[in-house]
Amino acid sequence: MSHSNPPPHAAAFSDRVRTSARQLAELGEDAISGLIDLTSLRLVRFATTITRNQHDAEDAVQATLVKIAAQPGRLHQCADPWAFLLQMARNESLLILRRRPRWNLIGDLCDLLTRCRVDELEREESYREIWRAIRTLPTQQSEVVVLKIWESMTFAEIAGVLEISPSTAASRYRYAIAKLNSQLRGKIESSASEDLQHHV
Amino acid sequence: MFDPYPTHRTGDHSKPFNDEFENLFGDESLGPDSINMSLHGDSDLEDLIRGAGNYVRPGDQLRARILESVAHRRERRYMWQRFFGGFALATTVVLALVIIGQIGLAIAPRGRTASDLQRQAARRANADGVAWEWALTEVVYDWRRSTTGRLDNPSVPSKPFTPLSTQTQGDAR
Repeated sequence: MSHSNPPPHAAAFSDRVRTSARQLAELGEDAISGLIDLTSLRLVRFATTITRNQHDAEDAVQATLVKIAAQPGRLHQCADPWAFLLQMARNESLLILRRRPRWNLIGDLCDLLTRCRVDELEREESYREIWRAIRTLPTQQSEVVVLKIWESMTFAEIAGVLEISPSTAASRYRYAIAKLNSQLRGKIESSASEDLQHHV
Repeated sequence: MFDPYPTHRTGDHSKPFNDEFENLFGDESLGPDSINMSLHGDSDLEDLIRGAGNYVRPGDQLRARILESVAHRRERRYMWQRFFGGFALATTVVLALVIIGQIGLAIAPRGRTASDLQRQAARRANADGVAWEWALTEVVYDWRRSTTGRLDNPSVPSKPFTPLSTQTQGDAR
């Protein structure tokens, strides 16, 4: 069974994480700020889909990076540091979720810290719709969607992070996309028609 | 208002997914389930989701919190290292002093004790065939005479104790 290679930008980011991990191993804890700047956004984004609460997700990311700073050799020695970081963030998120379960309203996004450039303000509602739709998915499916689309990982890589088989990852992704498709179908069609009108 | 122009609508992102999916499951009809889904039609959906990826940002305090936690943990580790280092050093010094003291006590010259005199008296009584009490008297007398001689002539170094059994009978007397 062969799997396609990750996209170039995903491989480049993975290389940057590897470089940062090497610097961390060589320079010690003082080099952790580089790794924070590089990965915090992606880790928080991934952890938020698991905890469904950004504050808990940030706690998970904090615990992950503090542990990495204490033992930088672990990150440097592993074959894929970025996958290792994602796996650690996932484990910390699940721990927090087990320790302090929260009741979340599915459509509620008030915990999210968002940013939207001025020229993207008109897209904000669509972003919120998408985040709301992702939150309606089961965690097992939403984390596959996040890794596949936002982290541009292959199913083999996703399987490595989530400790499942590539076929299971692909299956979950397919189910998730089907659900999201049905939820956002109207939005897609309206966007397509608006796109057509705009070009005409 | 819904976004009609997603940010990352560049190229056909569904192609790599289709290739990978076909690699995993072969023909699409042999997939994990017969979900009626058009893979090519989902590229728009994937682009929409991809565009929303950067909508959420970490909190402003997250970086500072992590750095503070790392510094706090490092301080605590240094404190424990100092504590255990000091404890180990103090233990080593005490042990060294005890060992040196024991060795010093073992090799330092010391005067005769009552036990030494009694043992010497017993040996003398057996050798000369006299009573033990008389032998003890002679031994004490000899000891006092040698001590007086050392006091009269301080340049003579005090000899470490040598049992009289190794001396000749005439010297002992």
